[in-house]
Amino acid sequence: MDWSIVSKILLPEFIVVFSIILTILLSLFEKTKKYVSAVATVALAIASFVASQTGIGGDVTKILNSAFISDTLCIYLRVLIYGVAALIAMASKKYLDNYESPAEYYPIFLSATLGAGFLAGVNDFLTLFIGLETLGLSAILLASYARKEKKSNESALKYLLTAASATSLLLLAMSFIYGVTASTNFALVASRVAQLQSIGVLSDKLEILIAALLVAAIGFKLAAAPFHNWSPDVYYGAPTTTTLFLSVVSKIAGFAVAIRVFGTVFHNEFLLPLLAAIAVISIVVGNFVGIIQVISRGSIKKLLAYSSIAQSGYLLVALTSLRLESVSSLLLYITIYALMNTAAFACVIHFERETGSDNIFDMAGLLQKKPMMAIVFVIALFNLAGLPFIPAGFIAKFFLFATAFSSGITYAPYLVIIALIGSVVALFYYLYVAKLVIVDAPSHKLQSIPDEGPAFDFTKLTAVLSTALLVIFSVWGMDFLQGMTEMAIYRIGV
Amino acid sequence: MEIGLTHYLTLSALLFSIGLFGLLISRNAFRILMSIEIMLNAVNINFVAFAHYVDPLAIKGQVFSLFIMAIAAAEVAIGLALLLLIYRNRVNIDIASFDSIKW
Amino acid sequence: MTNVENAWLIALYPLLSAVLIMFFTHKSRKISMGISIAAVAIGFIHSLLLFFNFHGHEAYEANFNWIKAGDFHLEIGLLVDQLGIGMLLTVTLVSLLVQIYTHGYMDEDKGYTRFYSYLSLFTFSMLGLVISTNLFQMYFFWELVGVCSFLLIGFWWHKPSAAHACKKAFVTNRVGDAGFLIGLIMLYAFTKDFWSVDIATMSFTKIQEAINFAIANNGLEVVGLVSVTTIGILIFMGAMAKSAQFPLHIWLPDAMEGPTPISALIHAATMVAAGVYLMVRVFPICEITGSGALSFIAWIGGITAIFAATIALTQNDIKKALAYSTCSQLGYMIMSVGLGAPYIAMFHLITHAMFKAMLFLGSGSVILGCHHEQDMREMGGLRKYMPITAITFLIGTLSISGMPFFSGFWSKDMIIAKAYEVSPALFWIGTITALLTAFYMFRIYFKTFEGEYRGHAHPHEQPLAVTAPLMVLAIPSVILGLWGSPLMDYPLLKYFNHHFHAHGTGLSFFIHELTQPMGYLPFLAFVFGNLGAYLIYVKGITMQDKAVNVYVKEKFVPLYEGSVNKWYIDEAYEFVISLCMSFFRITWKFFERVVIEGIVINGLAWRGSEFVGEVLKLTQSGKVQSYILIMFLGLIVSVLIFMV
Repeated sequence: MDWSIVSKILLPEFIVVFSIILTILLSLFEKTKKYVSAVATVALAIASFVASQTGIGGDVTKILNSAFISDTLCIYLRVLIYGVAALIAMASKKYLDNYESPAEYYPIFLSATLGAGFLAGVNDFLTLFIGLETLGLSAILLASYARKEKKSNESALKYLLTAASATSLLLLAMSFIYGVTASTNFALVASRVAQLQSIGVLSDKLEILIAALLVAAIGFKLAAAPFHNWSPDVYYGAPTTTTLFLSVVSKIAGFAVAIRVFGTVFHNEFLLPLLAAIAVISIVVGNFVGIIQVISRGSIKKLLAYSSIAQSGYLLVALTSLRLESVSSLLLYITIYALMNTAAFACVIHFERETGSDNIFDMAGLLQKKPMMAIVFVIALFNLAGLPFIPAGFIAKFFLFATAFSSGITYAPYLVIIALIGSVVALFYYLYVAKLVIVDAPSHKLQSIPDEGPAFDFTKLTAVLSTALLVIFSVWGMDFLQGMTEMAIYRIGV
Repeated sequence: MEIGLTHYLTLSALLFSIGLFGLLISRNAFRILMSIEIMLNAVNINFVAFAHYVDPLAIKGQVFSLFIMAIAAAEVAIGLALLLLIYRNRVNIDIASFDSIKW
Repeated sequence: MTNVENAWLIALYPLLSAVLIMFFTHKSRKISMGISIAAVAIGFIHSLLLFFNFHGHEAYEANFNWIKAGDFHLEIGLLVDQLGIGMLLTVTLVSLLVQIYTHGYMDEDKGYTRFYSYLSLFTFSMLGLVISTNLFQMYFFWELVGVCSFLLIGFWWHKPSAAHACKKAFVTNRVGDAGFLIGLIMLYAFTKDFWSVDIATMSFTKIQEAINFAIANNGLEVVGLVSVTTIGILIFMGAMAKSAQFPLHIWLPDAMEGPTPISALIHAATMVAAGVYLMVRVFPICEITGSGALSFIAWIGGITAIFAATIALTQNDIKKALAYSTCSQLGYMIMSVGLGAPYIAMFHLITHAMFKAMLFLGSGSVILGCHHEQDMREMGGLRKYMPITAITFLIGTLSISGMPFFSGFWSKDMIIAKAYEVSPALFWIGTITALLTAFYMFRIYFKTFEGEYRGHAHPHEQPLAVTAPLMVLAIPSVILGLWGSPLMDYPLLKYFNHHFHAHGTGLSFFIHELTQPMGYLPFLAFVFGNLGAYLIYVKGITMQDKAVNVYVKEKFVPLYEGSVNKWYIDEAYEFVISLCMSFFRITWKFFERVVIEGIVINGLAWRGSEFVGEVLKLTQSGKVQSYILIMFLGLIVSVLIFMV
């Protein structure tokens, strides 16, 4: 093994590991505690930048006995994951000060991010499992972080139990794949499965079972219905910074796994209808239950949870036709989704910290009290809804649906039409919240707090930065997409 | 009767089902954690059996099952810590009482 | 500077002014107003220069890549042709006059500069829409004008009715836009392989070419007539919402909650006409479907025309009555497109923009004069107090009602004459609508300006900033139509379409036409509608000792109530929506209570208590386990689907 190549490719991970150790050390001493969040943010930003430099002209490099692969997909997703995680770390600082020992949050946060980043390049079922657990177990700890709050405890326990069930399903699927192919390496598995399929010795029943197990286990990670039930509860109960992490970083990692596993490793005719089915169910559940959330005057965090279930559904629409364009449209969409959600949640974090409430109706009249937050929030909502107002979200959605529509798969047009109808339904709740924020008079909760001052605040900075990136993507998103598509020629090495 | 791969797989399937059953019906949160362990062990049996029968040279499956055990231990550690925390807050680890967060 | 390549500057000026006002000059009312008016004035002059200098028969087009990925690529660009120049002139002229008028109208409003920035932003979006080269770009600006309209309807957002109206406008437009977008994606997906090599069908200049290609290469059969018709109708859905066609017209009357300059600019002259402009641009797509999409369009237009006219008969709010009149006139234009005469629709669009903008601005002047009173029952006799407003309003009324030799006469009668050739039923609908139009327009005029003043304010004439735009608009309202008339050999129509051919030309042809049913029936409709309104609202003739309108009101209660209540369309929508909402709510409750709690937990437990004692424990199980259960059920179902 050539360690110089390994250390070059895994340099971002080494940086994150180093920052984990550093943050643990810093959090030990009263004097240095306050630097922990800055260290985490800077380390992640550096990791993101370094990750962008690890590629060598689009070459595919396999390291660690082919357990980790560095291709354009891996590089891009690592840049994205570490970059967004840096934004989230920045947004968390002030919110966490409400809890005891905020500094201890960051080592766990960093290790969860490490797991997610590692998942971008896994090329072996063993590393896949380890990456998922690093991410998942750390995320459980993050969810339980508000130790004294019963809802945080409860959400963490729910997450732990459902995640453990999903893990057992994934392991079962892996054990069968191992039994069939005698290997856990993606490339070997793919070639042997294809070989067995071509000579027809692989029984249909086993293929169905493996496909269903994989879809269930990965669907859990993506919070796609009917494997989604954990997400509204956990999103609601967990500290909002964790919710943001789960809805963005964890989901990107889930799609990284989905693209690799479904796109290259295990592929049969049963898989695509299953993905299509969970896409449809996710869109329906996410959007319709989201409406109920508004009607029943619920929590904005739960509303965004349902919204993100529906967004998973849209992304799965692209996943049903794994072609060149659909992968690049998926990457564009998930990038913009990450920014939109970061902006929206940063506003929620800010709002929750100021008022102590996460109720949708307490956000009424935010425009009058906190104009900047309100505008950013509404822009994020409009983008999530796919309205062409700062059109990043619209462009991403259009491109996603257009490529899916013309993918040539027989049922793709129906999927797109369902997705469009779903997004019209979703408009109701996005616009309803936008209307509350802009038009209505300030709620009691908001009236009791002072007006927005010029005070600098990292949460606000995150929100504004994400929105600015959205604007940049609106203008240069197309060049980006073109680049992605050209890069995707070398994509997903096997 | 020769004990073959099928027997191991059947044992594993039965264990998995028992674990699932326990997972779904247990009321005490500790029992649920134990049930999850049973499910993971069922998968371990699968891996080890496959390693023996289809991959006797590289025995990747056995290595895999070691990893599963290690991570399962971490999972249980987190679960137990969490239960301790919950017990401190509520003096109760009855899973049925954890439904304050609904839709 | 006046080169055709620089036509995009016309759209850029208002954008610059919007940005300047929003970020820099919003403190100073004078500078903001100056910038805004100057921007659109330069745009108008630029458009005029284009009009005089651009004579080529070929459209000028410049495209830049916007999206390129694999075989998928979209362009953004600039398209200038005679059609576009006509629209540019109309939009910049009306926008200019409305902005001048705004200075007088919004003088006392706190949001004065904000209003100017929105106006500029809207003007930019609308001009961008006009110079779009392809459907995708147009869709983009289409949404942008929608957003501006949303902002401006809700300009006085502290009024609950305005907040409600802007929400309604937005939601209704989204319904249409969803159709438009699906149509666009279908057009792209269905036609890219069969019709042409690139995205030709998305580009306006290449639509005809692509269709010829399709016909020559059997592409139409491959794609399927039904699909093409569906595409045409889906795209038309966008126009239905934007141009307030039945049954998506409900937002337009409510949109009158916005300030009156907005009603004149956006909801009478320009934005609502964007639907017609879109249909003219994509006309070839609808045309190849033969009677399919076209007759659908024609009938929607016809139904809207007569339907809105019947509602306008009984409205007492002056702006609402004019709003329904706009709906009705847009119905004429859409009908004209459906009848296969898109250029006549453009002709009517332009004349209508002039006189309808003037009527709305006149109504705004009246509303100001009566101290923000909009109810016509509180007006009357205003001619004495506001002579300029009254005269210009009368000119507008005559023009829209079809007074011979006025602008509206030529354009409207040309549509009715076209209907006479194509479809007798639509001809009669058009003629009856003309009768109703003459009646309700004169009703508005007589109730507002004639008789005795019934209100309690002290009406007075408005300052020059308000009346000058009225006087300027009065000129084209009278004479513009001549350029499209047989008397001058249809120069305007020939300008739009070089292949335009008429059955005849000159005075003798005109007189000959008048002796035909299609000539004299609309004229009679004008005379009788006018006369009826005069007799009822000025002379006050009686029937069984009651004024005729009172008599009708009492005798035909259902009809009258129906008209006053807009034929209960809003109520029907509300009913359906509330039905759907309660359906969702009930389904969800059912799902939550019965399926999850009842069947999954309690139901299984109930059976378990009978069969397997141990399963009884499920009763006590908490929610987490039901989640896991659902997960496994999902897994089992997905396995079973393929196994069985």
